[in-house]
Amino acid sequence: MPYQDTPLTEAFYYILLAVRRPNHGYGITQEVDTLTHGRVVLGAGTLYGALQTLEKRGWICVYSADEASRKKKEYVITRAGREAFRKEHERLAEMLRDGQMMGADEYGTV
Amino acid sequence: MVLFKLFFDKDKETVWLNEMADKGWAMTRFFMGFYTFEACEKGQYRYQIDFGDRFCGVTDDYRDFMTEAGIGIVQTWGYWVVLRKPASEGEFQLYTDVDSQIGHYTKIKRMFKIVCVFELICLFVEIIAGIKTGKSAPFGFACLLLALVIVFLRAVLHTGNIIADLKERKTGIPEPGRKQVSVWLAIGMLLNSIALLTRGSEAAFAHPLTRVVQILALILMICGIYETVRDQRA
Repeated sequence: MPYQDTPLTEAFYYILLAVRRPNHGYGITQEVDTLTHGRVVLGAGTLYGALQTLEKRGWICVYSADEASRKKKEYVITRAGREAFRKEHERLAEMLRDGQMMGADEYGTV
Repeated sequence: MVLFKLFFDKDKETVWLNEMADKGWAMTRFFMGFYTFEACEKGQYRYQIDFGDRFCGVTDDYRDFMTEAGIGIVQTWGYWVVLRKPASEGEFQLYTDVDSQIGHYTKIKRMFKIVCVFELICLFVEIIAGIKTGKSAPFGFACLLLALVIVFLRAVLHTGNIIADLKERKTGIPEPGRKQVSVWLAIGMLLNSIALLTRGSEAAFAHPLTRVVQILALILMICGIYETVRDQRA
């Protein structure tokens, strides 16, 4: 199914960031919470759905899932995932640069 | 403790389950509208209802994921999954951004729509049977099915309205057209089906009580149509 690579939702962006190193579900929630100082909260449903979508897109993959010892399932970003993240990062950087134009120029504000 | 209650709105159901937990009753089981509760400390658990990917039961992946997050799967019912988390472990929300909320309600709406279509097919089968046999029973079942179609249509429209609200919040642009069908239409149709089904096939003269029920059904349906049309204009 066709989908848009960018813009990523905030949740997707931070999830990708949290799996730059192998990370498990609860670890992702905690890291995103810490990174954003509690601004981006990931509910279990939101995170579960996002992980499934990202895995289907091939942006993340299962890093370890030891069935025998019931070890926590860890995810890690793939090459395609890094590429998608890089594109989004570039887009955001460009937006930030362009945004400076707004700066002190208050002429015409209504 | 066992309580019987029918919900067509998972948000109202969630509120109710949490109110029960606040009173010291934790839901542990559900079967065909019967909710089983066990005594717990007041406000010990927070409940949420999810819509799963699989009919009856959840995948191992889902179970492991929720368990790891400290969330217990209380009951699965069709696509519905009742979840709970000890209140001591903090707030419990399943969908925390507008996009995933829209996704969640879109899945729910699709399911309600499929049920609606399935009921409509059954309805036409009953009508054809009624015409062929000339008996009133198939028409009684047809009315019953029509009542169910209205109930599920209400659920489709209600879910659609929630999605419209969410989209409105996302874009900041008002989404036009909130729709709803009056519940009286469904109740009237249900009474009508009862009247038709109790009349019996060979009785040429209906029981006076049946007449009363049918007149009542007719009044309710007229009220229902009036209310539906009025709400559409508003």
